[in-house]
Amino acid sequence: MKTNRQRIVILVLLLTPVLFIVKATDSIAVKKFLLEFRVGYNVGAYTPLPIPQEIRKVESYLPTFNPSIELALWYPLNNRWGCSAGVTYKNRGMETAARVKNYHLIMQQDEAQMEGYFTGITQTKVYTSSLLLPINMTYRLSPKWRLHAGIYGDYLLYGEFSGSVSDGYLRHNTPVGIKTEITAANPASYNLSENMVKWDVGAQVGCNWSLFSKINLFAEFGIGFFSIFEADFEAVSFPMYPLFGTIGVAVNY
Amino acid sequence: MKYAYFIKACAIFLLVNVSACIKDEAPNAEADIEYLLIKNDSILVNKADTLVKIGTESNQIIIKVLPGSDLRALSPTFILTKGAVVSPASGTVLDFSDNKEHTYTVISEDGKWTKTYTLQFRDPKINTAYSFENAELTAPQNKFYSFYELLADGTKDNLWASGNAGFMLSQYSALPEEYPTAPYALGKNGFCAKLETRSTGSLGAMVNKRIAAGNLFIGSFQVEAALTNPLTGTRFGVPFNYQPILLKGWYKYAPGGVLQDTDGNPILGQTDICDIYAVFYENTQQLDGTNILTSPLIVAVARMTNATACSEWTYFELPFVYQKQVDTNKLNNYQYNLTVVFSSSKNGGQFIGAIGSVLLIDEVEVTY
Repeated sequence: MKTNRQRIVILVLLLTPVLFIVKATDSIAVKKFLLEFRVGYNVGAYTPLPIPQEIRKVESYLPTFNPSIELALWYPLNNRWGCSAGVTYKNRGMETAARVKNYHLIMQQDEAQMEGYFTGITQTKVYTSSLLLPINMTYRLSPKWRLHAGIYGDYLLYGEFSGSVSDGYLRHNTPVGIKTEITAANPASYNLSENMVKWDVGAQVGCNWSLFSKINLFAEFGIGFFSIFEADFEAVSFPMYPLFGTIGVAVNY
Repeated sequence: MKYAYFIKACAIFLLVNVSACIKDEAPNAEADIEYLLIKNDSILVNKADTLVKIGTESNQIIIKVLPGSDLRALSPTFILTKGAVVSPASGTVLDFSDNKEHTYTVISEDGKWTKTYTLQFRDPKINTAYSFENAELTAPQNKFYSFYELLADGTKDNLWASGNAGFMLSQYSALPEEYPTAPYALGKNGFCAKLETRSTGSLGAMVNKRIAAGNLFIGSFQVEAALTNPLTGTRFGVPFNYQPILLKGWYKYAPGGVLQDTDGNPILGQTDICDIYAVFYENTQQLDGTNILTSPLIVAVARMTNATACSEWTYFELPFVYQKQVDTNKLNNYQYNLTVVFSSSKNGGQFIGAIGSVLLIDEVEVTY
């Protein structure tokens, strides 16, 4: 089980070299910090990786409204290399419907639980608001292009994970257990928002493309290292990772 | 606008990629006999039994046959879940005479799961006096009790059914005594049947079925529709070749505290009441919870209309009120069904009742 403490330790270990670089270069260069303000939009999914065999088809996918804003300090070390650190407020989420076969689930409502194997449609809605602390190394390819890669710490401010199962049947306890129909008219819904973990650590890569001297377009791709549920959480039998792309506009000062 | 297109493009890109990651389908893990086919319908009490849908709540299949049928060489055939195999093979000729029970083992396509069924062909004869002394934990789950009758020749007859299997889905950790229908030691004589309206907890509320009334009836319960349309799961009645006159027996009733509606809101100024009745009907169709008291197939009904709370054992005697003539020829060929029904909450079928309503039933008899 990955505890929150482990997440924080990993984050600190990953951050240390970057912090040292910032510290070491501090004294040499009196070069100016650049303040970068970013507004972006995120598209992606919280998804198991790889997709488990039980998921037969993704029937629908709809991103929720996922804006993000970021304030970053960018510090050029030399002509090519630099580093940056920032703070981001990010909304991520999606609604999906998937056709599953023999999908192990535990429905837990307060003290009661129902365990079984479901075949049919699962609908899932995930929506989160998080505070991210990204730290990047940057590399200037050309006057127009700048690449960056780094890691981030992710603190969940608000999380919703809800859904329902329908259009199918549940086999109670085992695949040969009692079979119960679950129809679209009577779906069984669940809400696992309270079981979401607060901390995550992830990595991102991206690029900036200079549109005007102070205005850049950027694109970024990020992935979380940890599931949004604790590893021993039984209700969802596989880990779900945030996998999101961001595009937006960055303004430099 | 361009921006919106970009988002769509990204979404499609993601979908395509996700779809590309979908693995090959796993072999089927289920191992059910879904249907049983009997080619020779001349032996069957119920001609509709040439194709019988087999429920998943029990691994015991019993088909009622006309007395005197030749059962020495029957070849039951099965429709199994996809990819499953059964042994002995579907269509194997076996001797089912003298109540011989044969065991069939089904293995799933993935080879990891097996299910064992027993199949028996039996005389439709039933007991008509019921003391509720015989109850056992129901295989294969062994979580709740079922009442059974001992026939004159000593064989067990699973005459009585209840909705306990549906309750199990909502309250899996409940003890057998905590189910809506269970045996109880303090009967009129020996044990009795105890029916208690129970809460189905938060899982029941999730599917808007907040209570489970204790019920006990002659027939069978199919759990498949328990979460969707449970009234269709209470399949009332078995073939009966006599003309019933009276339903009599003893009961005790204590209504629970607060009567609640389907949404769990209290219904003020009303108390819960039990229901006791018997129906005799033409069995061209099996009646269920949706039509047992309204079907045009009904021939006679005996129903308690003056049920009250009573803390002492109270005798009841309810005459069958006939709405139609009985055809002697049909009667002799078992073309009528009889059911006897008890419920601790009269409107339990609509999930209206008071949690804690208790109906005790003992020493029941149908005279003919």
